[in-house]
Amino acid sequence: MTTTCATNCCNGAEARSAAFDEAPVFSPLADIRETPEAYIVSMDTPGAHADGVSIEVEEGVLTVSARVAQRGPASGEFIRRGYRVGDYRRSLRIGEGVDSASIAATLEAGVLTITLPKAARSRPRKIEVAQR
Amino acid sequence: MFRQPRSMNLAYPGYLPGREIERFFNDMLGALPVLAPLPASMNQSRLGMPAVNMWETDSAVHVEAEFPGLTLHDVEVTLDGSLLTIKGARREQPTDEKTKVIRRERATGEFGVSVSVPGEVDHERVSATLEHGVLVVTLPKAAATRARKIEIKTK
Repeated sequence: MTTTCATNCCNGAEARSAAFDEAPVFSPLADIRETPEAYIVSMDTPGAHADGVSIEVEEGVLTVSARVAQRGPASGEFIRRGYRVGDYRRSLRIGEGVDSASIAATLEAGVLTITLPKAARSRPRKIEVAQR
Repeated sequence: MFRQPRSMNLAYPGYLPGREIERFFNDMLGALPVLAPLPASMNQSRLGMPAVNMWETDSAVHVEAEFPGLTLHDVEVTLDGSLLTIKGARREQPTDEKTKVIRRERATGEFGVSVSVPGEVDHERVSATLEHGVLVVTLPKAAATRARKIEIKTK
């Protein structure tokens, strides 16, 4: 865990998961489907509740983060520990083909589904010609 | 014991903490070309044999596993003596010809795991919940093995 962090958490301000015993931040597994109208991203975020999820779009990057409450023994002692519980965070680049103002999301049974509607393809483009 | 899920060929390095920008998304959603070919499989699915956490309190043993997207109808929990078995399947999302799958990391298929539960369990009162994609099986301890704790109440 620490070696992974050493290569991945070097973004200065955001290096909060570097401490060994802090709750980890996981990159949730995702499926992406494309329909004629939209891209649909489904992410596995077990344990997340809608009020702990934030989705932001900034400079063409969609960032999903979800806070997850710790679960398990109050003492911290497990009989068996197969996985750790932590927050989720993942960023995806989105292009101009996405209407970022209309992105919508639902959270059901620990699966976050984000719908990214496509921007109107038929938008006319005017190309300026510079006079020299 | 259980068949491996069919779609194990997942191109994903697993759960890595703190990655700010998704390196695999050197391509963009909504730009062309949409996606570069996926790299070869790098790790195994978490689904085939789900990871399990187990801990105990004074009154019960709790067994927990993560099953995002599933309901209790998709999961079968059985207790045979002290052996607790959790199995089931996650089905592929139905799709039509207008829908194109451009990335698939989430495993589908059958899964199963068995764990040995310590101590005597009250079989009649075992219960399970599946909320927010987290399965919790609660196995109350039989009266004989339960730690006795005498509460002294003051008023």
